[in-house]
Amino acid sequence: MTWEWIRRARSIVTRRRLEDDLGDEIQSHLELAAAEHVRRGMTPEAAAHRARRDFGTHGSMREAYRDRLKLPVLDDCVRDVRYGLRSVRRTPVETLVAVVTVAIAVGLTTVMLSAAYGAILRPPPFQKGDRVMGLGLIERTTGRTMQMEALDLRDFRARQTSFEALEGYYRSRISIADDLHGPQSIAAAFVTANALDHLGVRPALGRTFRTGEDFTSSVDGAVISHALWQARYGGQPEVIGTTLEADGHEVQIVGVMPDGFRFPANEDLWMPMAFDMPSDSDRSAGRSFAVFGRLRDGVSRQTAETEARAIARRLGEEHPDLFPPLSAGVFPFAEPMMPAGVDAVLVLLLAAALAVTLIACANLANLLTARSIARGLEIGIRHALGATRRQVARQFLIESMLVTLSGGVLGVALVWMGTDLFNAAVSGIVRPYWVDVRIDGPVLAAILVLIVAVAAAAGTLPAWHASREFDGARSGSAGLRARDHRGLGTAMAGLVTVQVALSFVLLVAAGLIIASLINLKTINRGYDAEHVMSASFLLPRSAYPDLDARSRLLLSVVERAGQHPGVDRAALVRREPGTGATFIWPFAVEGENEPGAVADGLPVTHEYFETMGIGVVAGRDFLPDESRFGAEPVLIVNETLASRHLGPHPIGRRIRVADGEPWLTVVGVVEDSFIGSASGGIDLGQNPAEQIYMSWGVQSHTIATLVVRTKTDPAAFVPEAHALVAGIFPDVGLFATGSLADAIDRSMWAFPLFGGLFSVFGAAALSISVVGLYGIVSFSVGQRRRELRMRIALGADPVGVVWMTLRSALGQVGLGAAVGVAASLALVRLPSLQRMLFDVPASELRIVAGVLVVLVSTAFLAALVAPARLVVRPDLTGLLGREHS
Amino acid sequence: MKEPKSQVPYGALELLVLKTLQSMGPMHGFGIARRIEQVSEDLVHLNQGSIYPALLRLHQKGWIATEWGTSDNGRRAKFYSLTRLGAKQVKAEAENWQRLTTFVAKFLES
Repeated sequence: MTWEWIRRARSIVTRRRLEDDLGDEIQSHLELAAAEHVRRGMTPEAAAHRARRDFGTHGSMREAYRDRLKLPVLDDCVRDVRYGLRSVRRTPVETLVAVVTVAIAVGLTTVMLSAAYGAILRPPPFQKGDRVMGLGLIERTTGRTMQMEALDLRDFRARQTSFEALEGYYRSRISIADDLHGPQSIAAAFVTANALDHLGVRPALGRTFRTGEDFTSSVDGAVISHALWQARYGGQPEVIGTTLEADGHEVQIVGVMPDGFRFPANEDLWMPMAFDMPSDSDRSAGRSFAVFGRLRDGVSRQTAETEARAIARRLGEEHPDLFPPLSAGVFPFAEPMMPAGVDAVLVLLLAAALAVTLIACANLANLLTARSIARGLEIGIRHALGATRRQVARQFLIESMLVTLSGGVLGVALVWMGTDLFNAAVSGIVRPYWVDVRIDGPVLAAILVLIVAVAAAAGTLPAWHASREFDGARSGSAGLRARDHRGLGTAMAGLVTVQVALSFVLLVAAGLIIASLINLKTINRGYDAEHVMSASFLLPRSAYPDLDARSRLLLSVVERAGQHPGVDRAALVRREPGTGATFIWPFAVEGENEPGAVADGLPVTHEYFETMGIGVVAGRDFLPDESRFGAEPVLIVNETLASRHLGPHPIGRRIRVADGEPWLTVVGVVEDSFIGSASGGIDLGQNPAEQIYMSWGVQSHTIATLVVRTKTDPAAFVPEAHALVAGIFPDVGLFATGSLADAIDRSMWAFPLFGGLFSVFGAAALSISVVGLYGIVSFSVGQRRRELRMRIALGADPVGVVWMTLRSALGQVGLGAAVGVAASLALVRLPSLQRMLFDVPASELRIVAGVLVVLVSTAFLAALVAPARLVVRPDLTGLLGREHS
Repeated sequence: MKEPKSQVPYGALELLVLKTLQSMGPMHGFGIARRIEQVSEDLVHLNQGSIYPALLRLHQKGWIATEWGTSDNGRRAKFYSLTRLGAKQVKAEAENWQRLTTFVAKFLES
């Protein structure tokens, strides 16, 4: 059977030749027959005539032969497509609207799908990247993830069987000397010797690190990225073997990684783990780092995690003095480097895009159904000409497919441009470089499935109607009567209701996020970052081993900055303020027993509050002497913490930020200020929380952010800051430099991005629904045109006539809006949406009401157009003649 | 007027062609048509042309092979021969036909 079909399929290709062959064959047949008749004594003319007669009718035989040379289904489809094209071309405007509608929906869905795929599913670009997993220790009591230290890694390596190997990295910055521009701070990673090899990426030039080159304080080799090689060495191959001054040390460049490679996220420079392997007696002498490895073939993530947990548990039991009770986790490699919560939000956005698609799909279904109703006569004719019910239904499915496919192709083409926009919008987000929006195989395949699903869904209702119409034709009546359309009308009205409800929900979501954005812009943040420049730097520990000297040098940066004529005030803070980069400190108040109290913590120097414009409400600021390393340990708390934990007299009470740490005396209370968000604004809801500012001198610091209140444009002060820091730390480069206000804005990327996306979704949903509503109303007006004109001609009140046509449409809108209100009140409680909201509960109901007004009035206007036109230009001629539509 | 002849029913023609090729070896279309007419002793009417769609069907099923050649009297003609698969099918098709005609006969008698 199969073979027969393959041969038949092949004969389509060779059809022309076979038909020519047949001609020759018939000729030969006739000649042979005539020759035999001549042999029996006929005249040549009579013989030829007789031969033709015996052969029978040429035409029907050729037809039968030709049919046999075709694949009937395929042929019919080609015919249906041709017919469908002609049919959709007959109503160019409607078709164009439908195509554009589908294009918008598919385009939006594609962008969101590729964003979600990029952030959640796309494996990192390593060999078998989807099998490369991170491995972390977990504190069993708190669930907190901890990094490993060198000996933990050694013990895990010796005991585990799930991973091909275990390697480690920690991310940092390295200042490299640059004669032209002064020292440059470069994102770098310190890695175990075989980490790069384990990824299965070969260097483009030179080599990676050799076993045994790691865990030494005298690192002398470095591998650089292709981009750094191009930028700094102009792509010269002689770079291998040359030296580079990194953090004041000469290191040799031993390799260049291939174009595009970064690790673990966006780093450009790799050096071996730069500290000595600690001894068993001083296990935590080194530093902690992230561990990863590729799962062995056939080992699942769960299996690996089970094993890792057992090892961690045993490790904790062997060293009860060092570890709390331990467990372990195995997770996708990129997970710790992604902004928290972004996956949940992306899934929400994808759902919103699918809702837009659903709306477009409902639109298309209604459009095609309306068209199939208007084509009752045509269906009757096709029946009369011998079409089967299946053929008639298929015709409508094919038309649906035509519109959807062209819309889909257009949509994906638009997305190709849209992804650039999206990537530009998220360029500031801290993420691994391969997490981007691009259309690759899996995304395209999913979109294709989506398009076919839309076509099938949108084509079902009209096809069902057409086949009913077909039954009507078969039973002899000319098309269905009006009452027979009732079921269909209900279905179409139901689709409108669904559209309105979905649009409502999307608009409410957009409104909530925009309200959050406005709240964020207008709240009192408690500081004034407008005229503040910030610049961060990292000191190589090894270059400044003396803690007192280091502290003095750091403070002299503040002192010199403060003396600069363009500067009002200057201070050092451990991390860029207002961007969510704080420490989380579990704290205890002396004399109280409140377990689980947690504050956002930040070490700052004196005059930090004046620099930032944060008011001191009780007590005093830190004294200059308290910024010096080893000074009397003191701290300042914010009003929220003071009022919740310190009672009426906060000054003089004592707090400690971890068990076993010394008690620190509270010397002041300052105004609450905005902490910001480290994940783009996701989960911003808790701002501001309880805050602790620790005096700078309590700890010694290697990383610091200089904040400077300038008299003029803060960004213009950046070169001065470079010179200032380089004057004290000659080998140290600055990073994250510029206006602090800009940096804080950038750190809130999620609000403008997601707010913008939801606005687009909402606007698309609203306009698609409105177009759909307009289409439905004008269709029903068209169907009832004769009746309506008759009423007008007989003197009915025009307003009454319009109202009559509007009533059912408005009923659908009202029902949709009611469902929408209920659904959006439920939506607001949705955790993944809550994470994107900031301070909105107060405006929630106002937004729902606003959306209600906008949606209902727009829908009303759209529904009004068609009947109003009929009333204004009734065109009463031909009223009693044949209906022509 | 001649007495009206029976038509060859649909489906039977293919079996007749197969049987002809089995007993006579490779033949051209005209030869097959003549042979069927001769064996039927002119009891049935055959539009000679109608064997060509049947031949194409059999060819597409892979039961017969074709080749252009020269006829006894030196004319170019397309020759048909039974393939190995076709040879196997003749018996099965013949049995099929037997069953069918037996059934029809029984049905008519009842």
